This record gives sequence, C-alpha cells and structure tokens, in this order.
Amino acid sequence: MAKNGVLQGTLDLLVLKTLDSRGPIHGYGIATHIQNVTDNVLRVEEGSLYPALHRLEQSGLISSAWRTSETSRRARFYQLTAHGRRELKSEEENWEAVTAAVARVLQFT
Amino acid sequence: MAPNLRWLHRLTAAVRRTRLQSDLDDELLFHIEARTRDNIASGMSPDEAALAARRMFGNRTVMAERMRDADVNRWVDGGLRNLRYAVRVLWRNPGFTITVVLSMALGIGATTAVFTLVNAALLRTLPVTNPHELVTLEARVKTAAGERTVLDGMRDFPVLEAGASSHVELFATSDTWATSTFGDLAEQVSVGLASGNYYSVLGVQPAAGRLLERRDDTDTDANRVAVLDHEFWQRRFGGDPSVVGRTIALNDISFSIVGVTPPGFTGIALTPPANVTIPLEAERRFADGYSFREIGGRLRPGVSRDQAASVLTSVFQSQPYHRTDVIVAKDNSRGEYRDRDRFERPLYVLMGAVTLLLLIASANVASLLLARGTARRREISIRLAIGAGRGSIAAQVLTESVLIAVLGGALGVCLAYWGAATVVGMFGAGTSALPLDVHPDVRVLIFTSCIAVLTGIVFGLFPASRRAGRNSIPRSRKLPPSSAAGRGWWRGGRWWWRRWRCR
Repeated sequence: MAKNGVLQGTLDLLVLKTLDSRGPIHGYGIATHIQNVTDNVLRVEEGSLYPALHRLEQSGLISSAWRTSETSRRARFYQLTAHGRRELKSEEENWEAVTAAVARVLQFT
Repeated sequence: MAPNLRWLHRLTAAVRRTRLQSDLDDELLFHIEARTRDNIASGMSPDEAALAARRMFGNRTVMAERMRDADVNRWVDGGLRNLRYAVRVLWRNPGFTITVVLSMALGIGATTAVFTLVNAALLRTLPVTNPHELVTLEARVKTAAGERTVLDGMRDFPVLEAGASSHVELFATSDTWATSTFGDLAEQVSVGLASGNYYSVLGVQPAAGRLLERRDDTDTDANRVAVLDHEFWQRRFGGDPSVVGRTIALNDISFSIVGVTPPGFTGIALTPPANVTIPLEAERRFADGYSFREIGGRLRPGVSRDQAASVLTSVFQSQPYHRTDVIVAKDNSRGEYRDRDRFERPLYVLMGAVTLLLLIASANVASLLLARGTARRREISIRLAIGAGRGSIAAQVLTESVLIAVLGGALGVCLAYWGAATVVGMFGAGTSALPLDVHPDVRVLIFTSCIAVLTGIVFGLFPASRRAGRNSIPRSRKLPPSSAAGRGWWRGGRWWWRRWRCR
C-alpha cells in the first residue's frame, strides 16, 4: 500500500480504524485522514483503497450508503458494522502483539 | 464538472455494464474531483491538479478487475478451488476415501432402492394426460358393510356409460390369453380387450399407425383390428413399422394390425402390459363365452369422484336387478395394483428404517472426518495463520464432505438399481412377482441427488464448525509432526500393522 513497505494487510486495519474514529466517511476522506494523521508518512494508494473497501463490504465488516457530501456532491459513505468493530478489536490486538514482538527483536543486542 | 474529466465519462460510457461499475465510476469521479480541488488549494494549476489526481489511481481497469475479482472469486473460483483441493485431499488418502464413499454408497443406495419401490408402487402416476381424473368403478352391496360385488361389465357397462356420460367418460377392459401366429411363429400372448374409446379417453397417442377407435366397437369380418404393445412390437417384430397393415392370428382368427402403443404406456394397471389389444366385442369370437370386465373412466372436468359415483349409483339402481347396490369411483391415477394396500405400510416402514440407516452412515462418516480433522490440524493452522477466513475453511471442509456424498450417491444409484430389483424378487417369486417398473426415473434421481447433498452438508457441518472454530494462530506453535498432515491416516495404519506383525 504505502511507499515505505508497511506489511500487506495493514490497509484493512487502517481503514477499519479510520471508520471507527471518523464515523461515516467517504473513500477520499479515508485517504486524506490517513495521510494527514501520519504527516504524509503513509499514503494510501487509491488503486488499492477501493478494492479494499469493496472487499471489506463483501465480508460484512463495513456497510455503505450514498449521501450528499460536504461539497454537496453525492458520495458513497462507509461505516463500520458490529462485525467490523469486533474484527477491528482483534486486529488491533494482533497488531500490537506483532509490533511488540518485532520491537523486542530489534532491542535485543 | 471540470472539462478535463471528460475522459472518465467516455471510458465510463464504453465500459458501463453493471451497477457495480457505474457505482464505482461515480465514486471515483467524486474522489478525483475532491483530490483535484485540494491540489488546486495547495497551489497547483488546474490541469496539473487534475493530472496528479488521476495519476494517483494508476490503471483503472486493473482496479475494476480487482474489485470484480472480489465478487466472482469468492463464489466461482473459490468453489472450483475448493473442489480441486477436495479431490486432491481425497485422492491422497485412498483408504479414507474408499471407506467413507462406500459407507455413503451403502446408506444412499439402500435409501434409493427403497424409494424406487415407494415411487413405483405408491407415488408414480400413469403416463397419460391428467391421470388424477382417472377412476375405476366398483359395485358394493349397501347393507353388507361395503363388501365388493361383481360389476357386470357385459351387462352394466352400456347402461352406465350412456346414463352418466355428462359426468364421466367410461370405458371397459378385460384380458385373456391366446395363441398367436404370425408367419411361421406361434406363441402364447396376453390379449387385452378394450372398448373403442379406451385410448382416446386416456389421451394416449400411437407410436405407429392408429389405436382403437369407436368404429372398432362394431365387430364385423371386415373390421377385425389389433393394436400391438410397444415392448412386444420391439421384441417380436424388431420395431418394424411395416407390420402395420399385416395380419396376426389369435387362436386362428386373423386380426389386422392397425397400430402400436407409445413406449412407457402399459395400460391402466401395474401389471405386465397385454401384448396385443383388440376390441372388446371381438372377444366372443374366441374366448369361451363370458369374461369379467373392469369398468374405468375419466371424470369430466370439474366433477368430483363422489358426484360421479352418486350419478352412477342412481343410474345403476334404476336397473331392476340392482336396487340397493351402490357404485364407488376409486382414484386410479397411479394405476390399478391389487397389493398396494398390503404393501403401503411395510414400504413406508422400510423407508423409515433405511433413512435411519443413512443417518447412521452419515454419523460414521462425520466421526471419521472429525478424527481426521485432528490429523489435519497443522494444515488448518497454517491456512488460518496466512489469513484464510474461518468461512473459507468451513466452505472447503464442506466441499470435501459434499464431494464424498456425491461420489457415494453415484455409487449408491448403481447399488439401488440392483437392490430394487432384488427386493422386488424377494417380495414374490415366479408368477406372483411384483409387476413394478423399478428403473430409476427422474424423480428417483432428484431424490438421490437431494439426499446426497443434504447428508453431505449435515455430516460436513459438524466437523467444519469444529475445525474452523477452535483453531487460532497461537495454537500453531504446538503443531503435530508434519508426517501426520498428508497421508497421516494411511501411514498411521501401516505403522500399526507393522508393529502388530513384529510381535
């Protein structure tokens, strides 16, 4: 996804977390949110974002609806489902376990 | 809308086919517009801004394909992949596969065999138009608790037919034996006798020539006709259409062959069909006098059996010699079969028994699958660890079990084919053999496919839910040795065998 080679599969986690913290939001909002929050370190590749959103919706983790955006254009807004919220929780724990493990390896001298 | 986005619209118009696509296009359009606006806000020129926004997407077709893949792959490719995988797993565990497929084949085979009998004796309707309108008539003495009395077809048929024609179209049938000679060959044949309207009331069309008609009711030397049964025509005359118009002698009386009945039609009773059918009136020429005649018929549209029976009864009682007898019209949609009442209960009991047998077989297969699931825990753990969803693992396990059941079902149909004939042979031998056609028909095949798939799902679901549910990634640390993964069951068996022989 990003230029700096973050593990694949992380995109789902980032998307889910964004939806959790920002509520119903459209695809462009997700991309800019991730970019802004990480000070441009992580840039979501748009060619991956929409397939990912589609896949997540197919798996029932998120749902979508067409609404009018802040610029009064119609846009598709996404939000977490209950299933997605549970999945996010377990993914977050999983992520923390993995990064902690990686950190321990790096700190081992 | 910005003019420099026209390319997207052209592209859209060219490839817009599905809702998914048009939704996607709208969504991307919004995204690009938003990005362009932000780019301009951050100081780019409009053209530069739009170009940069588009560039972010890369190849749009590739993206659309990836999205479609998410849909199609999940169902089709996923299914095919599961099937391929299931075939491979079963192929690599021949002992296991043979055991479970044979178990299922026995269970499904027994169920199918008995269902074939139930179908032939109790369910299947006659191959005529609207079989549910068909009735047979019986006369009962009113006072003696419904005891059956003889309905005298010779005497009563014309009266009943004329009197009740507004409610029911009646025909009369009988049967006898005769020696037929055709060319140099003489053989004993069964002879059916029918009133001229028999075939037209049933709605049966000839396979060749014509069938009996009203005008054949008048029996003259110039008009003595016979209709061949299709099976007899095939066996005796090799299906030669030129026999129509030639003569066949029955007890040295010649009849001219006018036609052949259609394949599959064997009369209105589940007895072997008459080889030759001639008009009822011709009987007096060679049968010694009187023979018993059955009266059957077809209800007129909208007439119930009770209505027809009451009209027939009033006609019947108007005759001086039948003052108190009543006529009963019995449903004959399935064909007359005198042992139907006798076999109905035993057959359904047998059906229940083999259904239980099938359940036991399914349970056995389920426990075998479960036992093997333990041996496959390593494989499942790895698949979970590299990101397989629980649903997809359950789907794969389910594919395996349905495949087992379908293989078992296919083998079971072969067993049933043989089994049903054997059971028919067991019920009665020799002349009293069951006159049932136990060739599996479409209904039997649908039945078997359904129970195969259903049992596959039933015995697959339990292990599938256990396997997909219990395994989690940390568990894979305690993996069983890898030799247990592939041919585990088989190798384990041989190991046991070697140890046993060493003693």
